[in-house]
Amino acid sequence: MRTILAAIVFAALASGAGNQQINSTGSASAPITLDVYSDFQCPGCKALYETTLRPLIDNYVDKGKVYLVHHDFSLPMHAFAMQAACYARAAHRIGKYDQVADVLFRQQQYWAATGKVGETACSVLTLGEAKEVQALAKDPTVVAEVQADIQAGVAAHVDGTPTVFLKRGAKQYRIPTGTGYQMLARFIDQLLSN
Amino acid sequence: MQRLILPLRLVLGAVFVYAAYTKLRQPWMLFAMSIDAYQILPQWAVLLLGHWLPWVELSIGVLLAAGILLRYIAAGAAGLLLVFFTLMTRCVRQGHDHRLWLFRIG
Repeated sequence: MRTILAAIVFAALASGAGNQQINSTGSASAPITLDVYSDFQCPGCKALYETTLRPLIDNYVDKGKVYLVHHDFSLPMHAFAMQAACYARAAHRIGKYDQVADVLFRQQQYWAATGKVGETACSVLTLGEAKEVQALAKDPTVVAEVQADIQAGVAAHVDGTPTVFLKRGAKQYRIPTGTGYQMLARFIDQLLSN
Repeated sequence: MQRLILPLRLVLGAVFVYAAYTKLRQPWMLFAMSIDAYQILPQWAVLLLGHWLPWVELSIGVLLAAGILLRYIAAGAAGLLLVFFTLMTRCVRQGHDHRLWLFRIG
């Protein structure tokens, strides 16, 4: 199993994914890092984004206390998740990740039922931006970045979505799935006060 | 039957001690967050359980193994296991993650 994982990680690095841009929000020098592995078509990830990550960004990330790193972990059981991840990653390239990720989660039910991922993602962009994102979403390097994220998740023992790891110094904690904002905020406050 | 009681008691005691160990080796808030994820208790109860349940489990395990206050401790252990089993059944029925609190390590 370890050999397989090592091979996957090696293949990702060899394909140039090791040079991929980090898709993140906030300051990398924040004392706490949250690594979030999510799937745009997963209802639990939508709930995490809307009820936990949004207030977390406002109250901790924007204040320099938490560094939020987004990782795509599109599950094969979700037909349009990979496509959605590519659009979000493409939007990241032009500095519009937040807007596109937000609309993809908000209108998850719509595009998951209709398959209109591109239309949904581009609805928050200007015409020029939309054309650029549509082209980038099919760019092999963007697809490779998403795949590298998935492989990194496998290597990190991510077994479902959403999965959140909290890092404080050398310590890393796996946040239980379904944790609400208030409890997570309390834990972060506790770690920051130590 | 009488000869089986001691080893079974030791095994059950070890199970409770191990369950406590899996929680106590990590920040107690991680266990509290696991309880919170079930969304069945108010926050004050989640915090109380998150903080104290591992110590209750440890006490039950040690006292069971040592054979101290056996009648009361056995009743407490049975009650706790019944609560865990009821919650697990409820979560399975609702399609939630059914890993027991007993071994929930975040």
